[in-house]
Amino acid sequence: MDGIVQLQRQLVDYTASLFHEGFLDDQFNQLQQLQDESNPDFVVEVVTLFFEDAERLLNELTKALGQPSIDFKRLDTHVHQLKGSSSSIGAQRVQGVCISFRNSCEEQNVEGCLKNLQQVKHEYSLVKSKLETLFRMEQQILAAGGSVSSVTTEVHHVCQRYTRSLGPYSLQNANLPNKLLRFSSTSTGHASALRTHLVGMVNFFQISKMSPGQHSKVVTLSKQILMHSNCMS
Amino acid sequence: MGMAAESQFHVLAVDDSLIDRKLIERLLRTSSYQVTTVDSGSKALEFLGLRENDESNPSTPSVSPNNHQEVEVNLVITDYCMPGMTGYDLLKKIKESSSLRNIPVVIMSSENVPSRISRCLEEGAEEFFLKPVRLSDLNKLKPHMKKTKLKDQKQGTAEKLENSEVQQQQPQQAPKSQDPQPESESHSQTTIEQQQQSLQQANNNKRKTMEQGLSPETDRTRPRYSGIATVV
Repeated sequence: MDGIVQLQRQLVDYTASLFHEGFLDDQFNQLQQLQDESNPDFVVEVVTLFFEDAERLLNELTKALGQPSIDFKRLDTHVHQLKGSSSSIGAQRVQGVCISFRNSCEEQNVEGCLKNLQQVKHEYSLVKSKLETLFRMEQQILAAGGSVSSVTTEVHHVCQRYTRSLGPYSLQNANLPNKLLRFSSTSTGHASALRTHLVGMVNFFQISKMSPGQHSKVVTLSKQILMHSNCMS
Repeated sequence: MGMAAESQFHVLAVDDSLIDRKLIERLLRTSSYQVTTVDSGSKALEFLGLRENDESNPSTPSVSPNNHQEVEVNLVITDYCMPGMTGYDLLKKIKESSSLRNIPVVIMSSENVPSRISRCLEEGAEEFFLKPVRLSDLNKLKPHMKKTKLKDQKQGTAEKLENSEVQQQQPQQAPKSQDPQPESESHSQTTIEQQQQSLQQANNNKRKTMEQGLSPETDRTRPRYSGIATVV
């Protein structure tokens, strides 16, 4: 039994780290919540669709950028699709690069597009390998006779903790920066733990949905908090 | 997929993305709705019994659609950006059809464009969801579906159209206000239409909360993600 418990622990930590590092956002958590005994493979199915879709789109993008005369509209359509599907599964970093990519398309900036293509390929391969690792770990647990749903539940609680410390997150949450401040003042512990947690929180929410004003407030505030906590420790 | 014996609600979901169709289907089933998914606006209209080269004049009163409405649809939820017929075009076609106009329509979009949102709401969409859509968003759907179920009873179920539309970004002016079809007023099902219209107006009045002041195409002005991975 110990072996299974350890595997489950590792999976929780691994998944949490993916949220912390911004590879995945809350949408992935939403997907996991939609999985149950009647749909036990839901997440794998959706993510597999994403892999297929992304690879197709990356090929199209590579081809389109290799043309003597570049069709930026077409390029933008593909990037838009990729942005959509990555957002649907919670592949936050991929989604983020797609946003810049669309800007480059709009500016008809070839250099920018080429760079963005490199970036998106890189981010895609990273998240792909991480998700494959995650699924492999799940398989190990299942093969050993353990359950993955308890893991999912615990991961969900990790996500809840983020949400609770910030309060319900919504697009209109102008209080987000204040909440971050309040959180930091009540939390105890080592500066680096705070830093990790803070980065995790900020990366966890869909940054791309923040308004520019909100976003810069959060970044400024995070810096303040980190400086403050550095002084304290 | 025949008529449900219990009063289950049937949703028609329209999206050209396979992933998003799979997602919305799962979300809807989890919320105990019956679901049909199609990948285009024209297929949606076909399913609803309204063919594009329909002979029947849409402005003829009480036209029954060609033999195809054995399956009752209580709500249409559609993506905005689709090749060919957009979600907005589909919305318009539904609202222009005497047989379909009472079906509530919800629009989904991955892009937060205030003018787009208000255009859809003005055209008669009940809600506008930002993608990715969540389970909690679907909680807003029931009241709209119940409205159509009760349409025969001519009563105003209209008390609570959930006005949590504060979540949706609205522009300070409506750049393109499209006039509602004048012919709609001459039809007999006025009760529901009047309610919907007055609700729309009520919504219009409530939609003034615009703290954010987002410019259209907000996507383009957002900072790159890689620039914001917070100080580590």
